[in-house]
Amino acid sequence: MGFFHSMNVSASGLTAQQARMDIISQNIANVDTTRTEDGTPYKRKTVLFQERTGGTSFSTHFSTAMNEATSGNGVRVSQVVEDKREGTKVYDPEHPDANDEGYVEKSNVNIVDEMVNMISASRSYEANVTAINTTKAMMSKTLEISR
Amino acid sequence: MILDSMFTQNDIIGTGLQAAVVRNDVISNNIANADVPNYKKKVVRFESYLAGAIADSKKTGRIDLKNAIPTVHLSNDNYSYRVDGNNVDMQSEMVDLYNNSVKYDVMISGIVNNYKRINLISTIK
Repeated sequence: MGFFHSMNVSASGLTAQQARMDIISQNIANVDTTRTEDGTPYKRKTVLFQERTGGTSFSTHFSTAMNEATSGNGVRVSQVVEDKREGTKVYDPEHPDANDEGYVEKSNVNIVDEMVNMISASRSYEANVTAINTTKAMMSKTLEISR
Repeated sequence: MILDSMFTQNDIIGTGLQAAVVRNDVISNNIANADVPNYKKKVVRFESYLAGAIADSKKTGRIDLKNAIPTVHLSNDNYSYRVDGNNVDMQSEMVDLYNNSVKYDVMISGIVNNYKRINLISTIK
């Protein structure tokens, strides 16, 4: 176990929050995109997180059943999902992407939601950095035993 | 406490240090997984095991630290109102992280002072 395992766990948290920030930035950049490669408006994406476990060995299942646990291996992004809801429709017959009735379907990105998610990702990132700093301080303190 | 050697007290503090390392690991994992739906936070149990070992040592005069090892458990406490099934409370995890690191520093100081005291004995002419 040891300190290096703690560092890896917190680093996995940093990576996951960074991936979340990337997706949020992508959503914000595409808030006005009404035509993607396949001709449809942009659909916002989100990331799904999952705990990274030690694997599917018998001992991990057994210890889960006994309500004991191993101390886990951090977090990972399991998949990026698209939000398939329709965006708002705006009446604009002169727009190149208007459909037959003159409506343009905008992307389904809501800027306010993305801002809130961005703040949450930023705070989680800071919390993981604090955990790394604490682990680092403990490691430094350990070396004082032999001084 | 009846000690059977000069170094027993440092052995006892050593088990506390090991528990603090495991606890730091577990809290880091809780913080990294604070956004995962249906994740249940983990806690470390150690102090009760150590108290049991110390209570047993009062009867025999020697301490047996074989059973004073930290164990990790899932905690089903739910003091947060989150709808995604995750019961990690960021504030209490950060406070636990800080408290744990302070206790670690205190234990290190204890070990250093014990070794200084033993060193002092060896300088008696």
